[in-house]
Amino acid sequence: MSGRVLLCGSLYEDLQVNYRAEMLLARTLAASGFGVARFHYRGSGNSDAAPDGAPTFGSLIEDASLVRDWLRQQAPADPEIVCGFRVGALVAAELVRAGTGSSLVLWAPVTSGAEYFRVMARRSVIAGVRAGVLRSQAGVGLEKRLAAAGWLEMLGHRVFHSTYADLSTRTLAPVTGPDRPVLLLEVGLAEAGSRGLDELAKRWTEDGSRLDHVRIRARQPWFVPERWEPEEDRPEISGPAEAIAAWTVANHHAPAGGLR
Amino acid sequence: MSGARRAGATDERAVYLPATGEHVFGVLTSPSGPANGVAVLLLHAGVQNMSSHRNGMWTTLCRELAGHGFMTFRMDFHGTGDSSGRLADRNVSGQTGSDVDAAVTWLGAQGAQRLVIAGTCWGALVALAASARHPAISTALLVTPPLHLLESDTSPDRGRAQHAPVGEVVRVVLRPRVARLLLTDPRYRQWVRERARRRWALWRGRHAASGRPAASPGAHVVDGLRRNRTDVRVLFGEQDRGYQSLLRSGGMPGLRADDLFDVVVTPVPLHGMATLASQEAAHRQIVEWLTGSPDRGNPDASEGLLQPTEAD
Repeated sequence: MSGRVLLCGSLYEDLQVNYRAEMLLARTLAASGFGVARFHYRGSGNSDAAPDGAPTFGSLIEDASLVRDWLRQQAPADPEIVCGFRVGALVAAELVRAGTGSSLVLWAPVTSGAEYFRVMARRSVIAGVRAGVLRSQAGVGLEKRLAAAGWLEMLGHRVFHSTYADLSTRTLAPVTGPDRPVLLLEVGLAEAGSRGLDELAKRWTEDGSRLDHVRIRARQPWFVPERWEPEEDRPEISGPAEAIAAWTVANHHAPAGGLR
Repeated sequence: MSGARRAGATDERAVYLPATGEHVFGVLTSPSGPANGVAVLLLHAGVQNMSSHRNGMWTTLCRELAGHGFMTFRMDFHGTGDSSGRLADRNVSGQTGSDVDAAVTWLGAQGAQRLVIAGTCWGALVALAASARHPAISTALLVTPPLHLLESDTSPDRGRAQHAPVGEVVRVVLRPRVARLLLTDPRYRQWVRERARRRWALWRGRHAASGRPAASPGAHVVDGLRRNRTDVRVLFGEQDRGYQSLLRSGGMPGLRADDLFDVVVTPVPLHGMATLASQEAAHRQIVEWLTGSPDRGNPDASEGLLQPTEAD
């Protein structure tokens, strides 16, 4: 193996919509000689329920650590790359900050849990209005509505207040140092990048991160797609797999003289 | 569930089945209650989906059904979820048919004495077509199937029930944004050309040499269902586009198969399983169909599939 890659996915609708991209990334990396582990957090996909019914940052870290430990047993000597998608980027960065892995890939990351839920709530309203199941948005803030009801439905998923209260306080942990390369992969509809991620890249670079910033332009918003096309044909699905694989190979592929 | 244990991850096994050059992924859940010999094959809605289905609704359903003694298998079509391939053609035959055929054959080899197939949206249409091909499938449970597509060519890409009238198309094209895209974006021009080509092919197919509409591809499906004496049960949301299309066309024109379908209609919009209410409605109805447990507030619920039938 050229290295082992731990892929920390996202939650809720992100998991489903991006699942194919995660699978393509894993297989592209595997074709380049990397061993890749991806998983479903407890409370999502094919896994069992989350502890106490609602995932927390702690349960996400526990799940990712469990898979990381298993992956380490498979290839103890190989370099370790941790990749996080959307809210999974918070998990991946935290693992790397705490000492796991030799490099970090942030794939369309959120910079904070609060931002993640804010965007999800907004998309939920847009999708609801478009589907005709939602006509207006209550003027009360997300936090208050969650606290009052205990949970809220967003994009067909039940988001519990306990999950929100825990995750919304989390921010992307800075990963610095020349020996820990970071790839920041941005995916968006606009030609210009996100101001938040531009600022993050600038701040981390100033703090000593060895950071590469790549931007991939999506063709249509996933939450209100205008037309159907095979997933492999969508730049937001196939593009990240190719870009991450190329970066990972460039940074970690074993040259003739041994591993870098 | 009368004391039976709901299944969990330890009752499950992930498998890859070879299917005409591709490998389709699925999760088998073994019965956690006394086995009843019935296998349930669950199909999701296709693109942007995975074996667990939206919000894990298939995972939850499989584990509950396992407690009732069912063996269940939730699978990914080629080009979706964890399966290999590229889902470029959403016709219900071809590679998609092979995907399901592989699962049906494999479930038979696992010792299933009776096979039920269930699907939502496009997956329901695939389930219906598979039921017509396989006598081994005794029952099809369909959640908001776009049955009107059987009248065209069973592909959502080529068989949309309603195309915009020409006047509407011209109006759209004359919008400055669209006109600009047509002039500046070759990909957009290609997409428009492709769409026009498909509409032409569809029109030509419907108005074959004789000038009469061509025979409905759905007729073959109906013939198969009749031959196999398949029990077909359908759940529609009354506002779902598929259901409204059927109502507008006066039932199932061409299919003339209303007697084949046992239809339940709910006020909950079901298309896309986009809300918790839709997921819960589908879950409740499938469990009720399979076990006969009366739905909450519905004391007249039908008997489940485990009740002996005349054929038994």
